[in-house]
Amino acid sequence: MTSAKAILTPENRFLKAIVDRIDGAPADLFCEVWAGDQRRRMTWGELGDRARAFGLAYRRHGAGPGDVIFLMLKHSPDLYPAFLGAMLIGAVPSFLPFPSAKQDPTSFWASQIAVFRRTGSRLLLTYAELAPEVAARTADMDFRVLSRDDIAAADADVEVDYPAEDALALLQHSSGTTGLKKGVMLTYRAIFEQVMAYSDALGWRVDQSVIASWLPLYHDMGLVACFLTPMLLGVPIISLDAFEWTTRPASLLDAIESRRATHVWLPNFALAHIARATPRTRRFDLGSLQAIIGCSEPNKPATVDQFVARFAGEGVRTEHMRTCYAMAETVFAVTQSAVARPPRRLRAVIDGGAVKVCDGPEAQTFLSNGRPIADMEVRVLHDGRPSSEGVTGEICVRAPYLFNGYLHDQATTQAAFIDGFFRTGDLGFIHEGEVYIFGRIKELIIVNGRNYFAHDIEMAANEAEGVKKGRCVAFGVYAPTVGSEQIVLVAEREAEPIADSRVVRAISEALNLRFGAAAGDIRLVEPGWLMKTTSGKISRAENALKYKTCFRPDAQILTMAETGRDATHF
Amino acid sequence: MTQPTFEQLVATIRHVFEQPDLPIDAGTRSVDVPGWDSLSHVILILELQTTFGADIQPDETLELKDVGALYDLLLTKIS
Repeated sequence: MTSAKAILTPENRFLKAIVDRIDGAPADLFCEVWAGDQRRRMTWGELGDRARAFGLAYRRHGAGPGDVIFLMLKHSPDLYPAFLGAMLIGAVPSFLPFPSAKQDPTSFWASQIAVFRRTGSRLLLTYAELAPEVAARTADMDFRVLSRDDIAAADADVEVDYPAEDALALLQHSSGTTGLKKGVMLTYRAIFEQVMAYSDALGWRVDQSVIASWLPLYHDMGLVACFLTPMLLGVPIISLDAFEWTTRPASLLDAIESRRATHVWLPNFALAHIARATPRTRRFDLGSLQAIIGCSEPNKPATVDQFVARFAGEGVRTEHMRTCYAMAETVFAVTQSAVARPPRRLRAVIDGGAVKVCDGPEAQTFLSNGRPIADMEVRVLHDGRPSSEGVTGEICVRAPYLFNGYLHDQATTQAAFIDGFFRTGDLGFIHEGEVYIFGRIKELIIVNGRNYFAHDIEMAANEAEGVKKGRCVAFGVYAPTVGSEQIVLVAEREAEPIADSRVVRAISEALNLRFGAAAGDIRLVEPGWLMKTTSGKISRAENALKYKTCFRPDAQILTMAETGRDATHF
Repeated sequence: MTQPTFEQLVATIRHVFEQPDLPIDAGTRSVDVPGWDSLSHVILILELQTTFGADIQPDETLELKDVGALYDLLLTKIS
């Protein structure tokens, strides 16, 4: 086997650290993959051997430096070496979700093929059962489909082609369901520097840490926090299948207990799901845990309290519950709450764009996401200008490890920046150096960690029978029981009478087929019910407010900038 | 444990999805019930375990076509 170490370009600190570990500690545990009752351990040596096999196969199929290679894989040990193998030949790996049985294949593949075309990629790795379908759907493209089962052990030395540190390391694809998925470009330098800065903020002993995760790797939290970070730092990973975890959330607790895991990253809904769906009769020893880090959805104090109350007798303490604010465009973390103390809770009201700390009955509780990590600057933009602490506005960020733009989308990239700061689209404020998020400008609905654009939901609902075309609106309502937002859709009826139950079913089926999503509430209203903005567009924010007034006074609707209202929830 | 009635199953579904007036019959599918997704489905099955003592697991219910099929399965799972 070629010694990767000898050839490595020294400038690439990310790959150097990984290759050093492969060569220097081949018997150490890289990860343990759980699938059903199977526990498959992979050492660093096995990771290296398998990654070289993948790299060789990619190269034999024509891929080389700078080429984007898509990975559409189910849960398996090969997720990790398949990704690393692309890096070893200088190619640019990118995970994509695989099709689900619930989702309409036509819309799923339309979205994926738009991504293939946009990136100019010509190679995709997938599992054996899916390979023929991908090949058939891309038959008119210059596109090769490689089956995971065809990857043999490396039968020759791999002439390693290590990229420079400023080369593109990977693409992360943002949400978007109408062919508008944006490819977030990240360099090796950005990833390395982010991981180092984030690791400082975590305050962990990497040689004594173990990560347990069920997060899919096409999600930035799964990819960066639970794969790239531990791979760079040498922290073992206990890897669970997301689908198995959904039906048996206590499996994560099994993993923590039996492998003495110290760190887990979870979106808010997952805390709620584990607390609700773990039978009371089950007891766990979770004493190894040092941090349960909430991220990817707004962190909610009540959900955190629910989780701690459920597992307090099993080793979970409030100081273990930490928060993080992150996004793909900064590689991952923007902020991280402090070590060994619970995230700060701020009682305050927001009035006229100002945060007023108080503890009266009108005050709301805001959960801090902590301070910016090293080299991260956070600025709040209010009325187009940077504001001081205690003023609400759009969160903007700048760091040496920002992304390099959206692939082949210069216009969107330029529009995303102002004075060198990336505009996150999130609404928040800074108080005593800590960052709080309470709403968003971008019209996303985040359901159980998955992002849906409101206009995509509306477009799908528009196609349902009985809905007056162009006359529906979608927005998110926070559901405390499940710890996440739910999709709410309000649609005007067509003049032609169709039974409401039939229209609701048609809308539900449309959302299920297009996105695999279930709406939390669907309301049919008379023509003319929906309110418009002064420019004639249907106003999501004003109609969300009207929905709350007419149907659900207790609904918690995340602040949308369009209203100009300041409250956390209407 | 006595055999649950269909009405008891309906009451459980309405309780889990917090919709006391939800119309449900044997032909009702998950897509007809707002909020019935893969996560809330797990909560429903857990509720069936505790309410009826049913030895039923979420993954054996994923392919069921409607509430009637869920009821039929439930009857076979009562110890």
